[in-house]
Amino acid sequence: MKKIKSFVLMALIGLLLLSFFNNSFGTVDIEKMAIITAIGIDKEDDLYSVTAQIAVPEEDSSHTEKRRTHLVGKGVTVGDAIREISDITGWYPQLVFCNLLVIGKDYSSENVLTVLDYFAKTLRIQDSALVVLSSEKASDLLKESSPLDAISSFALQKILYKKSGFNKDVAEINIKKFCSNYYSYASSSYMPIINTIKQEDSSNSESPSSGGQSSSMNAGAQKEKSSSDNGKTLFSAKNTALFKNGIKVGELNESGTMIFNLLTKDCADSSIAVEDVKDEDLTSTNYLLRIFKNTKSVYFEIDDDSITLNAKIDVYCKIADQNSKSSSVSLSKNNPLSENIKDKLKDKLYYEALTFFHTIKSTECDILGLEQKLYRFHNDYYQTYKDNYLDKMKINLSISVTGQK
Amino acid sequence: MIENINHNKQLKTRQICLFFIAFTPLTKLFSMPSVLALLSSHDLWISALINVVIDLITLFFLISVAKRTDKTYFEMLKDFFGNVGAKIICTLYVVFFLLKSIVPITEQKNYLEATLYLSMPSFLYFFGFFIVAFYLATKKMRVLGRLSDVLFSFTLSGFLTLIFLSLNNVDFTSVLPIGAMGFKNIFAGSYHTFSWFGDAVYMVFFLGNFIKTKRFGIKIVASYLVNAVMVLLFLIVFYGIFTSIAFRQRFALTEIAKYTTVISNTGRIDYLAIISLLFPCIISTALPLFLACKILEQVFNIKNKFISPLIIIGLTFLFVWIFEEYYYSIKGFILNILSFILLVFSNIFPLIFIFTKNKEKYEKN
Repeated sequence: MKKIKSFVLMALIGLLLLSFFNNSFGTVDIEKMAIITAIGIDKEDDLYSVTAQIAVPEEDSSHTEKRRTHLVGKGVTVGDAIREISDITGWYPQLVFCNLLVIGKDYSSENVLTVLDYFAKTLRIQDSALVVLSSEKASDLLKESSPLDAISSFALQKILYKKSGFNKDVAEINIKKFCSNYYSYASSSYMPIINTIKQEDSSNSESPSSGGQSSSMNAGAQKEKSSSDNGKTLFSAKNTALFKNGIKVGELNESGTMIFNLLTKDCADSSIAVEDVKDEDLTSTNYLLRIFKNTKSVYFEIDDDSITLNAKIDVYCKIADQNSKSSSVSLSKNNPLSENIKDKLKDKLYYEALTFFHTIKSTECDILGLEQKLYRFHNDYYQTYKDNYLDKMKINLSISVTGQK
Repeated sequence: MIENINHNKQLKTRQICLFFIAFTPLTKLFSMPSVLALLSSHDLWISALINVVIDLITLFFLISVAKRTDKTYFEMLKDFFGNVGAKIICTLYVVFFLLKSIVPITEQKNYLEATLYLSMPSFLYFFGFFIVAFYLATKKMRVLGRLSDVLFSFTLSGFLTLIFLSLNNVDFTSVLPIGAMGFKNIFAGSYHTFSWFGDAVYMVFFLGNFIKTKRFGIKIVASYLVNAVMVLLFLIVFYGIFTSIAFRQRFALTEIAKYTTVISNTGRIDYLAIISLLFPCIISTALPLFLACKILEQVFNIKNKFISPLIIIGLTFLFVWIFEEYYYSIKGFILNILSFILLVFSNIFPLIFIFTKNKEKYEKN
């Protein structure tokens, strides 16, 4: 009897714990739920116009093409606009799968935090979602269809969300990072700018399909032909928008973005082209170098009279390709780099780094978090230099290129 | 080897050690990190360290008391203040534990509501907690030992998984320069978060109730230090991830691990670790209520095991239900006004037990 009593008691507790952890009291019917994959925000007549890209679940599992729809809501706040989507559709906006936030170009001249802060504070959306600035209206960007994926946000994520350390070309950032940069001492942040690239011949491409399945289809099987809404648009995120106090103050071009990434991230596996290298026979050759690793450091040396920023980049590369007319070396081997290649790349990086620092100084957008470094590592001098460190600092650049020795 | 003269002791030294690891860190992982970040910014860990040191000092003295006597807290209070005086002090401790329980209960309730529910749930979703707390309170003190034996592995595995998933995104330099926020902010952080600390007070109620083994004092202090390291590490990792917006992250437990690449690719697997922590956290949150029930039984000599849980858990349930809309005011009142009173009850008053006379010495073989 005692055992039965204990069993019943434990079962009761188990049931209670189940109700404690599940969502039974707050259930939202799956059929009334809109799974939002991306959100675009534009400004319209002083209202926030939110475009939600919604993945519509397929009824027929044999149909590989994904469907998506776009809903637009307007409101006096971002949350209000999202609520309006719910009101007009009867769908509950499920934001936890939203991994992309697109800011429309209209917000280039305004404090973008008025848009982002909602997403940073609400628990309804993951603040690990990527944030990008569109070179056009966010709603237009989301409605584009790409040959990479019928759902534009998924195609965008393919270029933004590569394996960590794989890509030097995109300065990707998430909502949390943007906001913590904004609230930091430097009040400076950045986000990639998305430009569209029209592909004239993409109409002959395969139909975009789920998870890249088409590439793994049996070659003998009949492949789906592109439908009428197949995308002709690709995206580029190589330029980076710079924000000071939430307002866009400048841009980094492709080279600037590369230098920023080399100074702040692990860029192993990225590639970099070097043109017009004079070989021993004085012929010009172009090379593609693969970065094996990049070591970097950015630190201040400070005294009462001067402030110097030491920025060091060392890239360890191997030759991945070259356009020489004849060559005796195999690209599969990690051959030593010639001094000419090293010098050429070093000069290129040096020039680009100087341009990068000039942009930082001219825009006063401290995306390297130099003010934080000043505060954390040279706190005694913080009050002295906090208002003018960008103007006063001398830049000591040290760029080196190494390869197999 | 130390042989006990009291064979009715309900806990073992091992269980007390595991108790400090399994339960005491958990309630500090919800909203306390953001409160500390707001008050002490990057020096939040120093504020927490001050509270840890205060607890450690109290624990040290209580262990020295445990070495000298086998009396329980009530017996010692009777020696000092007489039967009536002891009962009055114990009644005050019932109120103390009720006050100490309010913030953890309400913040855990809000945590579940905000993170595990899509829409606004019925109040009943949290009713399960009170049932568990009630069931726990009907048991004797030895239930804490058994729970510690089982649940410490949940706490450790959940905690280590969360920290492991978070480490890649931590900027450890964010806590520099040490002490730059100034003593005023650091002590403000300590003072206003005291309701989450004061864990040494639990040792008062273990006095005379556990079987002492060789070097039990060192073992208990070491296990308390494990708990302290867990809390301090969590605070540093939390601040290292969120830096300037740490003060806005209301529920640190859910937040710290979600930025790792693994989560981006696989989904919120960190919730496995979070739920692993939530199980012992139920007990951790119910602890003050459990002790309040035990003290009430002692004071009024209640024999029926259901009466004191009905009173204490019932009162707490009604309080949380009725004053749900006043949560922020009540939390502000407890953190801002009552912190000193909580400090007195948890860390200052227990020092009186060091004046216990050395009458009952345990025998040494």
